[in-house]
Amino acid sequence: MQTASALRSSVRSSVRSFASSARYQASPALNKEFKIYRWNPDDPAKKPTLQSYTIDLNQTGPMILDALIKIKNEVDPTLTFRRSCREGICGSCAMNIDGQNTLACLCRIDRNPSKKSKIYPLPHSTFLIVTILNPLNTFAFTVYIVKDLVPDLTLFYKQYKSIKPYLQNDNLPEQGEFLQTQEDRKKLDGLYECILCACCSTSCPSYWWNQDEYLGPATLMQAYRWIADSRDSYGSQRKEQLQNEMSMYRCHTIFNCARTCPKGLNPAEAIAKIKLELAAD
Amino acid sequence: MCQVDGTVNDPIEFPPSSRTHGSYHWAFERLLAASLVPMTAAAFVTSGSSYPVLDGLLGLSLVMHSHIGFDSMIVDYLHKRKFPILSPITTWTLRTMTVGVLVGIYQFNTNDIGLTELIAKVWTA
Amino acid sequence: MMSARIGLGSVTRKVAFAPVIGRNQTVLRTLIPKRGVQIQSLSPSASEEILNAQRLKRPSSPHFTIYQPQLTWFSSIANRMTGGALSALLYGFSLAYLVAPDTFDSVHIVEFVAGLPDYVKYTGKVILAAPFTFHFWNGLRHLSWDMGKFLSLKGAYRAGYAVLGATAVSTVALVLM
Repeated sequence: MQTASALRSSVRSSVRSFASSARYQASPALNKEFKIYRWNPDDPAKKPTLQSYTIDLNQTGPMILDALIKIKNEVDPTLTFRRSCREGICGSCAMNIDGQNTLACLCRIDRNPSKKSKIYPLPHSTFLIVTILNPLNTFAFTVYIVKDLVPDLTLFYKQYKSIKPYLQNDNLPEQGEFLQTQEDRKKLDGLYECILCACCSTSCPSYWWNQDEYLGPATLMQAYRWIADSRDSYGSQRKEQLQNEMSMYRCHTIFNCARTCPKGLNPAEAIAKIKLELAAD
Repeated sequence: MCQVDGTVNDPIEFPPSSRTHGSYHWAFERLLAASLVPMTAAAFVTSGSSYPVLDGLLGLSLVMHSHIGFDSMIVDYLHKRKFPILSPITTWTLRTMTVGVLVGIYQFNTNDIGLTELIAKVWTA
Repeated sequence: MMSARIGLGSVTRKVAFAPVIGRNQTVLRTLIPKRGVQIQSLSPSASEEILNAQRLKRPSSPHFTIYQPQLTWFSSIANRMTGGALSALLYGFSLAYLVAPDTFDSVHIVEFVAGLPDYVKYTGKVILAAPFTFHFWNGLRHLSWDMGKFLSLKGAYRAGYAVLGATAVSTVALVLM
């Protein structure tokens, strides 16, 4: 199914790039080198490498994602990456571009041809190698690169699910919906816009070392989004879950999360507010 | 590599909740660090007779601050789920050393000139 | 042409050049096994096994070696390293005094330092003063975050640059003291 949709989209984007190449035919070539992380699960013994691709920026759209699509269409169809909306709302094309996590579709190509652009998957480190197979339990191994720029975000989603990211309230209003003052609604601004692209969590050194126990900035900011919601009555249970050494307190206010967020959100601030609320409890 | 229980659709589980390891620890750490600020300032202006009091306070709180810092490094980089043997060894070495340091610094503060005066003298030696 | 580029060529061409066969379902069905495509049905647990076996072979992606140097995480790791180094000095001295109080008493230490050449003294002062002042000012930055101040990205950066400035000034002041 994946291959079929990849083929379909490749056909579509080939048509698109054909149209755009006709438009830019007159411009002289502006060749730029991209070095892209490659790893192929069909040849797992081969270590991950950086593969070099040179393309003409005058024949390419302005964003890194345009370059990736062009490489996939015209140079190397085996290059694998996720993408969907191409406008920064789906979060699929999160990757590490020139050392910083961001969305490829929102990241402009640096048009300086002498500078190589390096593209890696979202950073992640792994330590534990546990191979015990328990017949009563299905173990999901979360490591990590599925192929090329595609990371396995299983753990990330399991963590997000653990904070119960939905409204919990036992006292339903007698009629109609939950009402909220404008001030209370305002508390959710800067929290609800998160698209769960995982740029922040995978930029966090604490998450690099302890990602299996520490929830990471994205999940913690969503935890706060529900703690801060006046319509939710499970705030104390939500906070109680974080009362341990690992789940939240591995945050050392490093601020990589806020620095890297492609949506301009601030998980560091949200976590600092949870800590203050817990201390006041 | 981390191994997680359950299928991809199961949420991860939280460790048992404990305020001693959670907010109490956090708040204590901050209050301790904050209390070091006036102590440090005092160390610069202290003279003769107040040295023993300040040295006693510093000898205890500086060591606790250091201990918490080292302990936090062990949790971050040498957690026992990753290093089942090395981690407890390091933790207990740190605890033993901290006790030794507390005794050592107490003896230096009582039998010798004390921490603040030592730093002042070394600095201008 | 364009489909040839992406490796769809042979399949599409076959269909295009054999429209009669393509429209005839029975012929098409007999054709497919001849192309060597075999489908094997797997139970969900068996497919999970394959997935887990593959996961074991996967690499981890690089992190701090490729991440852009930024004030955020550099000041954080510097805070930890300066704190660790100063604490190690405190621990080292206290344990040394505990073990050998006659060798590491204040008289001997001050005597030893006084005997050092000036350039060693000043270098030593810089080596001690810079980590101490950085850890002090950056500690204040951390404490203000914990009280809810400077929590915007801009605030965090401004406080970070203020820490660097204050560190430079107070290091010089301490060394000249």
